[in-house]
Amino acid sequence: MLVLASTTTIYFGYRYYEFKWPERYFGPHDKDSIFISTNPFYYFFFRVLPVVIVIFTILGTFQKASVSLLNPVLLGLLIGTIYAVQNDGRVIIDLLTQSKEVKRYENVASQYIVHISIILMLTGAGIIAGYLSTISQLYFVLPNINGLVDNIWATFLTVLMVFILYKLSKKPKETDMDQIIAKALGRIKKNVFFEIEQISEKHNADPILVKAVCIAEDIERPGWIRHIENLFGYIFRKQGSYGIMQIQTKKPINDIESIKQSVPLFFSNAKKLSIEAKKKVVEKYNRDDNFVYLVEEIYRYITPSI
Amino acid sequence: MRIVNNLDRKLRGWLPVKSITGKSYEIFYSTEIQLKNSGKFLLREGFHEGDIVSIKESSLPYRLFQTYNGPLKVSRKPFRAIVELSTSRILYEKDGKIVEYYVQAENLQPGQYAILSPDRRRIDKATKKYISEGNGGSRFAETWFPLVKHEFEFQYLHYGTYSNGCITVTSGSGWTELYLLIMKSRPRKMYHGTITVVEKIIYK
Repeated sequence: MLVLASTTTIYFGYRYYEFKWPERYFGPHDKDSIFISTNPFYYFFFRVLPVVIVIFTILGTFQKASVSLLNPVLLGLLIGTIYAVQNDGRVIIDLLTQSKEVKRYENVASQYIVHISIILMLTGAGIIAGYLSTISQLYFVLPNINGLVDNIWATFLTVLMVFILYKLSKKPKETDMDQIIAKALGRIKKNVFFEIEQISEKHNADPILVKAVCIAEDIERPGWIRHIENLFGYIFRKQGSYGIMQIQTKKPINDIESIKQSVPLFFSNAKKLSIEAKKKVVEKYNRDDNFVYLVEEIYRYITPSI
Repeated sequence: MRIVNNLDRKLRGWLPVKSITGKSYEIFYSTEIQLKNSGKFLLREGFHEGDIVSIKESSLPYRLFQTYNGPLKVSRKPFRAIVELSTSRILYEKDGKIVEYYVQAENLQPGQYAILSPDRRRIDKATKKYISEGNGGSRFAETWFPLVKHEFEFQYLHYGTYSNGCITVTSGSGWTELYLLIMKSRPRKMYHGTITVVEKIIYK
């Protein structure tokens, strides 16, 4: 019953994000994804901390009320694992079955690695939370069981009313694309842009178009994910898409090298092309409609479309 | 040599600089400059003409371009437009075609107005909605062009929703187009062209 209560609480806690996260993986689909994906600490805190808090609160409250639990550490492990398998396990299955529910990247191995790591981390988090729930010195932060029941009812009714009012007044959450682009621009090192200018000049490419593609790639594949990909690429000597331009190579390459390789391959002699022709260049680079749209938005952000 | 590469949605046609005397201000897109040593340049026009300045890196939100100066093709022909008060329209020629946009021009006297270079960035006049192109605004909403009829008669040409004696262009995309055309028309320092305000256009 405790396992069910805990996994259900965690499930509803993440319910709001469920359609977009982690299923959609990384991308400019909504503000929360952008905020969380740009920093590995945000990502891991978002995934792990709520699970620890819920398991500790539920198991600890019962133990504080002198309800004897068979093995709190084992229970914590069970809750963490069930929740992780239910979510990240599902993503792994979606990836294996090539389901359209989850976006499949070129470096699909890194997607598997991230989700498998999360399952292991959540299992570990469950064990830690279960152990913490046995430490009586920490019970001062937990409620008494009677008070908890009263509070649950009061909270339930309040939340229900607030939820109804919120749903009635809620406007769709809009993505502020300009803000997302500006943040990505702030993240990317200036030598990346300088390199694009030099290589573009050499190959008669449109530097703004190359920059737009580079920024779009960085939004979809933040730097820390690229570092993980490179690390595994080195370890397993695996072919894949590497660097900020996500170019297909036999071994990992850095951001600058990916620019050097991608510009002559995709963008040469595109400087004087019309906007429509430039769009075709991007489609050749990546056929995904969302990606092409994102590049267009970034291009317009950098320069007025007239 | 002119100021370039500052047309993105964050800089919006302005570049933060710091003069050697320590003054900080922003200079507009296409300002004519002369390069000096160690990244400094001399302003050859504008309200700070004669100042030696460098880019104020701490005020740049990001460094998207290696340099913010370069060659820029400008027309020596003055930009010309007509404002017809009876129909509230501004009309001008672009690529051999007549383009028109709706304007607000309350209490504006007919006559010929010279369009001068913008004096400063009008951050105080442009709301977030004005500069948001997704909401029909223009990234150049903070740029106001002074209009001079006689020596002491000042008005402005700008983007917005209401007029208080100025010529107010109400279309965001129209303002972006006008801004670029005016900025690239440079018959002489600080002067971009003329706007002729008439009650009604008489077609011959």
